[in-house]
Amino acid sequence: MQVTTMTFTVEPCSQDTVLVRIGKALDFRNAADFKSTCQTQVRSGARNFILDFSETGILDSTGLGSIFSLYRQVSPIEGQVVFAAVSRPVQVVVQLTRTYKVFRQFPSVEAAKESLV
Amino acid sequence: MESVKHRFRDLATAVDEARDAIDATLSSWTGEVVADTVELAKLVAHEWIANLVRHASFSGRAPDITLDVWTEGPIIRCVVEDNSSGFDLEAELDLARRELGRAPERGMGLIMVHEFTSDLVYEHLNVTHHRASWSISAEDNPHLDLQV
Repeated sequence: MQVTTMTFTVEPCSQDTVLVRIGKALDFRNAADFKSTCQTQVRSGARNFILDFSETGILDSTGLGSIFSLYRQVSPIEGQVVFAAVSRPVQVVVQLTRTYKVFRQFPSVEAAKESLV
Repeated sequence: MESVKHRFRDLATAVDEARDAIDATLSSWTGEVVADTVELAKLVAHEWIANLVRHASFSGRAPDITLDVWTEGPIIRCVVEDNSSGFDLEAELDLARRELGRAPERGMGLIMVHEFTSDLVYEHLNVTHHRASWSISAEDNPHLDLQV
């Protein structure tokens, strides 16, 4: 069952893996909503997060910080945060901040699901 | 390329308008490298204007932000002027660097502006007029190593 918050759609993929569709932007305007969305999923048992960036035109420092926050929550419980279908604007941020060293990237949501589920 | 000036008066839409303005102004640039450089220019403008939106004091004045953007060969030049009360950029950068821990949740915006640009200058023209200018080159390879 999909759950749609103000900006983010969450789809369960397995017992402990969820897909979060980021949509057009993850930035200072909705990062708090993203954090809240993910915290709810972690409390419900999710520890692996696939972030779908296929439609994302904006990822700023605050958005990236909210992803780091999620990473800090799930990594102690051996969870993962992975990026799927990364758009050019997001890829620029990933390259600039070298965060590809931490967050695996997959060319598609399906490829990410195959790896994690 | 002659500079093109854009004006934003609505803080709720300023970052989006700035990104659109850069896209429109630089639409004649083509090529793989310059596409990423345009994205970087949009990111930096976003971070600077987001900082204004989130933290600037306009002391009851109607916000007035302008963005000039143009190219000189492989370089994008940007100037953002605003009528806020201004801030101490060096002090804020120092604070942000000191507080930048592992997997940082906040404080990266101004650091990104500083690290991803060259010739960053922030001037207080008067109490209610401030100007930031910077350059971004398609030939540079900036990065920010974050401890995660």
